[in-house]
Amino acid sequence: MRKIISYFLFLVLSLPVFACEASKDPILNTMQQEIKRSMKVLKQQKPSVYFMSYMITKGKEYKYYSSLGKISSQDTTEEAVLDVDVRVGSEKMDNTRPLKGFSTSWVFGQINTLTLLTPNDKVLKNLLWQATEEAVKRAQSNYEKVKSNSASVAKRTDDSDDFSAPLPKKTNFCAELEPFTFNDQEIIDLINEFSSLFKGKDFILSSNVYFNISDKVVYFVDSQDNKMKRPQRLIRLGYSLETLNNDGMKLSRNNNYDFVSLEKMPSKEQVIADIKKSIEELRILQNAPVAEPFHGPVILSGRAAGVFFHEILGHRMEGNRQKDDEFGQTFTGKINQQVISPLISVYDDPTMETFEGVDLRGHYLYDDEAVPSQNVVLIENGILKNFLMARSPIKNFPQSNGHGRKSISRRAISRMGVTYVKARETITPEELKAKLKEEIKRQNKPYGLYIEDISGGFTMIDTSSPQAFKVNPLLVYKVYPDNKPDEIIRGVDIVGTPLASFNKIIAAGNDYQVFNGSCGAESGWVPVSAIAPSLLISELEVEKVYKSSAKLPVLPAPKGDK
Amino acid sequence: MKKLLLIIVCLILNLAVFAAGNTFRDLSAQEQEVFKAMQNEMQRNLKNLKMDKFARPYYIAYKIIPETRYLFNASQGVLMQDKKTYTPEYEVQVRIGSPKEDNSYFNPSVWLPKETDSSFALNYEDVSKFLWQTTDIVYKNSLAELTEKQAYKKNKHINQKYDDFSFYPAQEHFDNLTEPTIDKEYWREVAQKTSAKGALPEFEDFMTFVNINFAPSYFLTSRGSKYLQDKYSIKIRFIAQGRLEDGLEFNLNKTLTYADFKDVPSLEQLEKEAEDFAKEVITLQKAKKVDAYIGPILLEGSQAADLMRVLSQGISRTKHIASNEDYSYYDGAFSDKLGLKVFSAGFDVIDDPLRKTFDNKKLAGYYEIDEEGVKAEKIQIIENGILKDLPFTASLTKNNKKSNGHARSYYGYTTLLARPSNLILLARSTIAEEDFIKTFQNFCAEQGLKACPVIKARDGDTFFGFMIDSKTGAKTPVYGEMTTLNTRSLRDIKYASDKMQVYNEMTRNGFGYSIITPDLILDNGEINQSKRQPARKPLVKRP
Repeated sequence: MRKIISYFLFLVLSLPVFACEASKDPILNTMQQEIKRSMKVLKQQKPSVYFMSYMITKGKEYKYYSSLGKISSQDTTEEAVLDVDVRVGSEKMDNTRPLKGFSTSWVFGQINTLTLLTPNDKVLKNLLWQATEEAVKRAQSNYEKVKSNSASVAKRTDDSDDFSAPLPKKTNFCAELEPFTFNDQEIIDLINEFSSLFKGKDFILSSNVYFNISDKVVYFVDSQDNKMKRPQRLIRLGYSLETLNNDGMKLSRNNNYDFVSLEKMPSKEQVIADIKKSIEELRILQNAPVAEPFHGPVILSGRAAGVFFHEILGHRMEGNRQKDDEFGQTFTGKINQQVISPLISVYDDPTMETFEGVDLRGHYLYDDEAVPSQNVVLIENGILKNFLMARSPIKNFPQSNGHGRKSISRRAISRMGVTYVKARETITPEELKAKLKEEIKRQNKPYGLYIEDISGGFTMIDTSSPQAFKVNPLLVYKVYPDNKPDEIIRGVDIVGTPLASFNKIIAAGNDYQVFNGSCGAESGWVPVSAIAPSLLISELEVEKVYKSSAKLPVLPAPKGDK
Repeated sequence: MKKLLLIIVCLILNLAVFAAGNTFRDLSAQEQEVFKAMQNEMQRNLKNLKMDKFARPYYIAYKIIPETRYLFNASQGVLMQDKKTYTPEYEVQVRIGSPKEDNSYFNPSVWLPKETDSSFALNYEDVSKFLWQTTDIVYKNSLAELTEKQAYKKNKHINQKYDDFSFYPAQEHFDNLTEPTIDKEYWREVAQKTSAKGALPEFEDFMTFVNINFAPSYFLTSRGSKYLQDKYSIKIRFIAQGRLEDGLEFNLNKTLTYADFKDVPSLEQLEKEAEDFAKEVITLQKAKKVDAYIGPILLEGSQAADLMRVLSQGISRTKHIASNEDYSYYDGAFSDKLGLKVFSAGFDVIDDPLRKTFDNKKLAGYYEIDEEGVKAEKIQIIENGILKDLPFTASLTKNNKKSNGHARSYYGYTTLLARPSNLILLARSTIAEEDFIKTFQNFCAEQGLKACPVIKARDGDTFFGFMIDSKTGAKTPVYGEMTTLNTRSLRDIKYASDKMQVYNEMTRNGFGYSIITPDLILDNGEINQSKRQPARKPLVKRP
C-alpha cells in the first residue's frame, strides 16, 4: 500500500463532548427519520436488510499551488457527499463478505454515493430515499453471490461473523468547531513568496508550494440508533522540489507543516530557512554517489521509524486481514507471543490530539462507524496483544475498538490512526550514533546507514505475493566507523520481511518524532500519524531504487531574464 | 472634406480592428510575458535542441490554455455543488525530419502529449522552464518515433507519396481576453431556481448543472503564426430522472450551450426553459413500448443535431500510415468518398470557422487560425448531396493536397484531427415550422402507415417521443430503441423545416464546434422495440 503525503492535516481541537440533540440538527434529524422509515419496510424483505447507515461528509476544500512566485493552480470546492451502507442477510453472513477466489480489490467496499450540498429536508429525504433504493438493490444482489460463493468454496479459516453485535453503548456524539475564515489573498501572497525562492535554481526541474484547507463535518446515523456529528478540519502548508541525475534517477525533497489553526502555522522565517535547506540538500543529492545494495546496521530517524512501523507492522495489525484468507496473516496466530524486539511497545491511540506540540492528523474521537476510538495496546515489550478492530469481528475479538475508518464511497475496515512506537529504554541520539559505529565495527562492515527522511512505502500482505515490504528513503547518509564525515548517498530503498526485521531493533533514541501523512488501502485514503524514536537496527537490507530512463534535458535551463 | 472623410474612414477601420478580435493590437503585460517566454524558448530549441547524430526539430508549436472552470449544481431547488478550478493546460508539437517525412501521425501520443501532472504559473520563468522540459521530452520521444516509423515503412514496403507537412504564410490574430467576472450568487440562483421547476412528484430527481469554462489560448508556431484566442462557454443542463408508468427508469436531459455571456437568457427565461422541459418529460412519462418500425421518422431539435454529428464524425480524419495496428488513428467514414453522393439531394452543408454568429448568437466553432498556424477557410462540404470538400490539415494525402485551415486538437485525443467547426445544413427547400408536423403526418399517410414516430429525446439507445396518427394527427407517447442513425441516414433526409437551431458544444481546452440545423424528416428510418427491462419498483415509498 503506497502512502503519499497528502495535502490535509487532520485537525484536532479539544472538543467538548456533546450529546446530539437531534431535533436541533435538521440534517441528523432527517437522516434518522428516513433510516427508520426505510428500515420498517426493508427488514421485511427477502433477503432482509438488517442494518443500514447514512454518512454525509459536508464542507469546503481550498487548494492553492504556487510555482516560481505565481499561482499555478487553484481549486475551491463546496459540496457534500452521501454514503449509504446497507447490510443484507444477518450478522453471521451478509453481503459485505469478500468473495473467496476473487482477488480482493479496492472496489469491494464501495457503497453508494450521491453529491449534495445544502440539503433541505425535502430534497435530503428524496436523495436518501434514492440512494437507499440503489444500495439495497446492490446489496441484495451481492448477498446472493456471497451465499453461493460460501457454499461452493472451502470454509474460511476464521469463520467469524461478518458484523458485530450492536454496540454495548449507543453513540450519541455531536461537536462543533468555530467557523473557519481566512484571507485567501494573504495565503496566495505567502506561498508566492515561498515559491519565488526556487527562482534561478536551474538544477531544480520542478518545484511547488501548496496550501490546502479542508473544512468538513461528518454526519452519521445508523439503524441501531447511533448518531454522530464530527467536525474535521485539515490545514497543510508544504513544498516539494525535484531534480534528475543524468543516470535517470529522480531526486526530491519536500516538507509539510500540519496545523489546526492559522495561528499555529510555522513562522515565515522558519519555512524560508527550511526551503533553503532543502534546496541545498537537493543540490548535493543530485550528484551524490549512488547507494550500493547493503545489509548491515542502520539508524532510522524517528520519522523514518514511524513510517517503517506503519507500513511493515501496522497493516499487519489490521483486524480484517486476520480473517481474510487472501492475506498472509503474518501475526494472526501469535497473540501473546514475542513478535518483535522486547525493547519496543506499539500502541495505536487515535484519542491523542497532539504530541509535543505537534498536531496529529490521525486523531479522532469516534471512528467512521460511530464507535468511540480507543488506545489499543498492539504490542507490549515485544509481545503481541491486540489487533485493530472495526465492526467486522475476528476470532477472539468480537467487538470494534474504534478503528473502523474509510474515505468517501468506501466501506469502513480496520485502519490505523495514531501509531505510537515506544521504547522501554532510550539513549540520546549521540549515544545512538556511537552505538551504530560500534555495531559497524562489530559486524566488520565498511559503513552503516543513517536514514533521516522517508517519503512512504508499501507492504505486500496478500498470499499471492511475498510477505515483504519496501520503504522509500529520501535522505540517507553513510556513517563511517571512524571520524570520516557522514556522506549523503542517493537511490536507496529499504526492503525486507517483517518477522526478520523487527527482531533486530537493538537500541532506541529519546528523540521522538511525528510523521503525519495519508494512508491508502481498501477503504480509501485516511489521515494517519506515526510517532517513533530513532531506532538502531542491527541488520537491515537496502537495495537500489528504480531509475527512470529519463535523461536531463539536452539544453541547459532557460535564463530567467526576459 | 476629402481629408476629413479619409480621417473618418481610417478611424472607423481602426475601431473595427480593435473590436472583438484584432489582427494586431497591443498585448497586455502578462500576454507579452507569456508570448515572450514561448517565443524565446521556441527559438532556443529550434536553434540548439539536437542530440549527437540525430536530427534537430524543423518545426515546433506551443499552445498554453490557462483554463478556469466553474460548476454549480442544484437538485430540486437545493444547491449541491459549487466548484472552481484553475489549471493551465498545454500542447507541444515537435516535428523532426523534414516536411517530406517526419515523425508525425505514427504514434500521436508521443509528439502531441496531452497528459500532464504538472501545472505551471503564467509567468515568464515558469512558462519557459515548463516548455523547456516538455519540448525536450517530446523531442526525444519523437526521435524514437521517427526511427520506428521509417523502419515500419521499410518493413511494409510503404512508399509514401505525399508530404507529412506543408507550409503556409504566417498568420496572427489576437482576441481581447475578457475573463468574465463570475457572480457566484447569481449562478447558484440559476441552478437552484431552474432545478426547482422540477421539484414535482413526477420526478425522482431534477437537477441543473451550470458549467462555465474560460479557456483562453496562447498559440505560437515556429513558422511565425501566433494567436490569442478568447474562448468561453456557458453550459446549462437540465436532467430529469424518474420512471415511466411501466417502471422503466429514464434519465433525460436538455442542454443549452452558449459561447458568449450576452447570449445567455435571463433567469426568468431559463426558468421557463426548465419548466417547459419538465412539462415535456411529464408528457413523455406516459410513453408505452413501441413495436419495431421502418418508415419515415421526424428528428426534432437536438435529435436532428445528433444526425448532423454523424456527418461531422464522417468528415473528420487524420493522416495515417496504412495498417499500423499499434496506433489508433481517426478516419471518418467519408475520408475517401469525395465526389460521391453521401447526402440527400437538395441539401448543402458548409463548414465556416470564420463565422462568428448565427442568428446573433456566438458560435462555439469560430476561430481564425488553426492548430498548424494556417488561416481558417470556409468550405463547401456537401453540394446538392455530393461530397465536395473535406476539412484538411497541412499533412498531405491523396485527397488532402492543401490545408484549408481545419487542423484542430480535441481534448481527449492525442492528435490533430481535420475537423469541422461551424457545420451548417442548408436545405434548398424548406417547410414552415408551423406546418412541419402536418407535413410529416401526410407523408406518413402517403406511405400507407398508421402512425409514424417523432423522436424528441434519447437516453442512451432508448428514444422517447410520439407516434403521430397518420389520419387524425393524435400523439401517443412511446419509447423504443434507435441505434440506426448512421451515415446511411444522411441519404434518407427528405424534408427540413425552416427554423434553424444552433447547437453549440465546447469541451475542455477551449475546443468548440457548432451544428446549425433545422428539424428533419427521414423517409426511411428504423426503430426497434426496447430491450430494456423496467426496474423493480422502489421497495420503500417515496417520501
